[in-house]
Amino acid sequence: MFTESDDTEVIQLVLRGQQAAYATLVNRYQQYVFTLAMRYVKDRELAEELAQDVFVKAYRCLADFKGNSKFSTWLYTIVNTTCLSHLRKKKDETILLEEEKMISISDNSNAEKPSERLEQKTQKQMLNNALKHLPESEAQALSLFYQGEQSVDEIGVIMGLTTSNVKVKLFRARQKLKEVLESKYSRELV
Amino acid sequence: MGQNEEDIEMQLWEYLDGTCSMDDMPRISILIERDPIWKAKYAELSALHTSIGNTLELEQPSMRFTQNVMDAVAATHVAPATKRYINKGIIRGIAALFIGMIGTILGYAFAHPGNGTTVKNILPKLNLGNINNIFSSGTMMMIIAVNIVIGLVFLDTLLRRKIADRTV
Repeated sequence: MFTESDDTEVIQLVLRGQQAAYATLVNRYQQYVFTLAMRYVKDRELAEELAQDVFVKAYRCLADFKGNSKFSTWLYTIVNTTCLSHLRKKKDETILLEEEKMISISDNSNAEKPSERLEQKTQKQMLNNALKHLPESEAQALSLFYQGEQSVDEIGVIMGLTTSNVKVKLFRARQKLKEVLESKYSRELV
Repeated sequence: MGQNEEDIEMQLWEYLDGTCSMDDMPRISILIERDPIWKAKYAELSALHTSIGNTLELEQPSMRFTQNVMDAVAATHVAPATKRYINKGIIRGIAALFIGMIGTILGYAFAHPGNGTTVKNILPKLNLGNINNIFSSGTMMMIIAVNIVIGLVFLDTLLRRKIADRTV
């Protein structure tokens, strides 16, 4: 992860009119922003569109970044609001994974194609696939914690939750992840 | 999963994340050392914790991603900071205007008690004998109905929020 001073220096350059400097921030955070968007929409093209939208919004509002939090926390807040407002607009088209559905999917491992099963053999793939079976807000909390390197308090700011709610969300997410791994990939794990 | 097991897991996750209180930290450390159930659970969760931390992959957007963003950004500009165009002076001015107006009305009312503007005369005269007429009028019924609907909407919002907080 990059230091706050690195980000602040680049932001100052952009605010002074050096638009090209913004590419540094985009390069730095594009994977994080794209990954978080993927937790919400699952579709790569759409996630990329949303991630692009996030960076454009962040650029427009860059003067409002006061430096009270890390730049990444501020940026991920924009990811969260952008993705949530997209989901609200597309509510009817989006299939939200509910808890019951998640269990039924995890039980349905035999329905997968043999080629897909081969692909899922490594631990990385297993974990990343299991993550796709979590409700998006829980997957988001896990991604922010482990990949975005955000503290529980910062996740609370990003997701608009209290610290204790974030703790509960992380707890449930890990529990479900464990359940999915055990039920779906128990053979591979043995 | 039993309540006790869930409670142990919850405390262990807080311990692993470093979010438990300073008082709980040594207590949990001792439990992990001495209690075989806590020890086994800690080993299991610790392995999962490390596994998630080490193996979760970041997704890679397309090669042109940065270029696409920079192209989109080129057509726009950084907006001035909100604090620049939200002038606190104007907000304070509006507040001062309202306070001034209320003050002037009250001042005038108290300064001219003989002109029929005493507090007693300002208050509307409520004739309780006509209360049935007031409530039977269509307008009043409409106002009451609107208020009930607003009240129900407010109650619904409040309950939804509470349910949402509980389900988080």
